Amino acid sequence: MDNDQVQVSAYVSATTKRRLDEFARESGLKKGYVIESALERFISAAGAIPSEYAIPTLTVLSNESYDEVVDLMLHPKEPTEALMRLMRGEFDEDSSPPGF
Amino acid sequence: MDRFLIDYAWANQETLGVGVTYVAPVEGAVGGYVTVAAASLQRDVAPPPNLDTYPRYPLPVLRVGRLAVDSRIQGQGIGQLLLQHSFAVAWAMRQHVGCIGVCVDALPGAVSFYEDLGFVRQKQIEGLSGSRPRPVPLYFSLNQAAEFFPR
Repeated sequence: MDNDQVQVSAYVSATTKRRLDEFARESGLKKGYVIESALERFISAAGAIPSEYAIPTLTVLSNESYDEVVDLMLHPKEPTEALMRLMRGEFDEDSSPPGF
Repeated sequence: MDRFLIDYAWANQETLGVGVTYVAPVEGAVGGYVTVAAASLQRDVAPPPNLDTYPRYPLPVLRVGRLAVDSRIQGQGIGQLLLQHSFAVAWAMRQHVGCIGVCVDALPGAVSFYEDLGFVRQKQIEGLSGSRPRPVPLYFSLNQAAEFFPR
């Protein structure tokens, strides 16, 4: 919130208006402060990334999987035929990641 | 176009700084995209103390969070081009800050595509992607592709 203030007007239901009045009266907070706080929360929540779209950046592996990762690091496998084709730019038309 | 690209890719990249999305343009439209992020792998339980050479710290990887191609132009190598680019990003990361491999959250139908390339399945305890259908976590050791990159 900044110090510059402007006025907005909007239609809300009579119930919401009554709840706002009651909340402001009981809490002692100014209605403008309550409305602005509510809007800030709403906008922040709308912009938050749902978990299904977030990219986890720390992965805890089972001991067996982690040990396999270390083993592959220390004892790398030979490139597969598919990897060699990929890295040479010879793309296989029959295999492809999912579409959208 | 999928919702992640429209609503969240830029927020991930510009606001949060936790991932970068590369787009493959095809005739002025998005033909496909890949979103990658620096990540790390950790062991569930610390290794036995008698293993002196065993890494006891999180291992740096590149995580491919999303990779998708417009279904109307699948089979033209765009997804493979994006994955090849992801490997190149991982290799650059390896040279600048360290990176041992690439992690992918694969849709069940795409697992064989990745396994043919050398990816292996992982059992994750934490850090599972929340997307549906439940993805299959896979790992690729960058050492396996070392010969394709300049030293």
